[in-house]
Amino acid sequence: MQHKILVVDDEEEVRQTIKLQLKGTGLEVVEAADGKRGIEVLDAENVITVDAILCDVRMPNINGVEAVAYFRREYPSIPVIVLTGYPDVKLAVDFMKEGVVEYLVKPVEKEKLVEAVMRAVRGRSYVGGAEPKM
Amino acid sequence: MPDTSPAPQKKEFRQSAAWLLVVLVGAVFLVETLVMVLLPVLPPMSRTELILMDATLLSVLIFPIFYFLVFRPLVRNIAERQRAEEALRETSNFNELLIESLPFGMDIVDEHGHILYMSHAMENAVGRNALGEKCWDLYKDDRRQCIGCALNQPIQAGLAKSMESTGVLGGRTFEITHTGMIYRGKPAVLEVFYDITERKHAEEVLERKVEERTRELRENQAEKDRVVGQLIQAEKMAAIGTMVSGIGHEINNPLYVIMGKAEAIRDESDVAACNEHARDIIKYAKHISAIVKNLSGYIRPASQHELEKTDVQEKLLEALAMAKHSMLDDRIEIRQNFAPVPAIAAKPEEIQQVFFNIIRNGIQAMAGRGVLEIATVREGSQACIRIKDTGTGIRAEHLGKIFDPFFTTKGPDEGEGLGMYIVQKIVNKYNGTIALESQENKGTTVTIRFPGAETIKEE
Repeated sequence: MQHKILVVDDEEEVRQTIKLQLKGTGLEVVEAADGKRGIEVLDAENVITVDAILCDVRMPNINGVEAVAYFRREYPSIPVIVLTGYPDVKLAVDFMKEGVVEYLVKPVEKEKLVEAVMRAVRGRSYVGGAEPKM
Repeated sequence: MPDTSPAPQKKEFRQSAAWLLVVLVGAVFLVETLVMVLLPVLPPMSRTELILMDATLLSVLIFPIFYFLVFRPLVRNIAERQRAEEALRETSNFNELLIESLPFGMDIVDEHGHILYMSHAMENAVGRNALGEKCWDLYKDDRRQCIGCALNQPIQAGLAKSMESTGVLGGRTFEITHTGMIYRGKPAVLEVFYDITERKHAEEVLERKVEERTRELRENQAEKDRVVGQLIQAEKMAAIGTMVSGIGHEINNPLYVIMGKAEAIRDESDVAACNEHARDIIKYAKHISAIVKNLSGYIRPASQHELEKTDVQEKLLEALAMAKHSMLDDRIEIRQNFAPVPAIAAKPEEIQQVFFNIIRNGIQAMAGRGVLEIATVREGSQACIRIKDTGTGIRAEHLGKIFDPFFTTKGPDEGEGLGMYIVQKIVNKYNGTIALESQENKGTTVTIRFPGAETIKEE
């Protein structure tokens, strides 16, 4: 079974870069241009098929702080990774308290991102998903 | 109540010469009538006796007339003249006393400078009476005529000229007033000597003190300017400190794209794909460069050189881009309404700082949601800038303190309370004005007006 991750970021180029870095992991990447779209994507699924969420912080409409809070409240089984340009310790601590599994600051290297995503997906797979193909 | 009684007038008339004349004429008339009545009963008189009696009666009649019309006025005139002479003597004595008691020396010289009269004060100053000597021989230490001596030109009687002379009577300084006059029937000049040595000395001391104080004030102003300059710079750095995360985000996002694309080139064998990644890398590197350039322009201390013609709209856009760094999301709608405005003569970095501080305050006041309107409009020769937010507004009791240093309603990590203080300092520095309108929970409008650069040049 192919694992799926949701990438929530308002910058098209950033989403493309994430896809580039995750190329070869066999993960299916679903994109959302802001927090609102990300929530809509998840809410639209009858059966939850997303194995992890990669979410930016600064976004229009609904920002990362609000979106992550929603994801953690409504979909607590989906691991969330925050990928942001803000090198802010306080923000990181707040997210960790919210239950975020990783707080990655851009620019993040491919290996580090893949490792974090795969760790999150594996954690999710222990709950009910299949082992993703490397 | 005014006294309407005629009594005083009556009394006055009774004491007057006319009254006496009336009494005398009346008396003569009565005597003559009595004589005429008694004449038939009196023993017959000789012609000589009649003439004597008539002469006697006529004398009695004429004497008072002579007395009152001739003798009495004459006596009075003599008495008045005596009194006038006495008064003149008194005046003369008084004048002499006055002149002699004056604290400054006086003399009278002829048109060649020969002394015709010396006051006692002058005699005391010189040590002798020196009538006939030339005044400059007597008074001047170098025995030379004063430069610009008033005696070189004739002085009309009553006309006064004043001059200052140094090296007089033992190195002192005098102000000498020359007044034209007639003395003993000949043209002469009255010289009055005011010793101004102490006054001149005091003036010199005062002048030195004024110069010294002026220099101190100038130095203090320079020091004050330097401190304000440092404060402006410190406030800038503090503002940057509060935006570090935002700036990091602005730079880290494109850096991430660059890193990802570089990694892709490393792993990619297709040349066309590599070229595409390389193009993206260049694009994002330029993007970072623009951000850093904008930040450097802001952080750089204000230039010390001449003021520049500063484009208001350009600085507004740069300030807006900077202030956006502090926004966590883009739900704040930015409305720009830029009408052409004149350039202003200023240091561009400082104008950017003014706009940045106001825009950042507006964004912070809206806490992530609202509308920020930035408008420019020309008002005569002025550039008018309006920045309006729909934030929490300013409480009425805080409005008067907004420009006070270290006044803040923000949290400890959001600023030092120097932002608006610096804004006002800079606006005042360029002869601008700043006005605040605010309603609690409705928002705040900040209006700034700067004189156009051309106006300043004309001034």
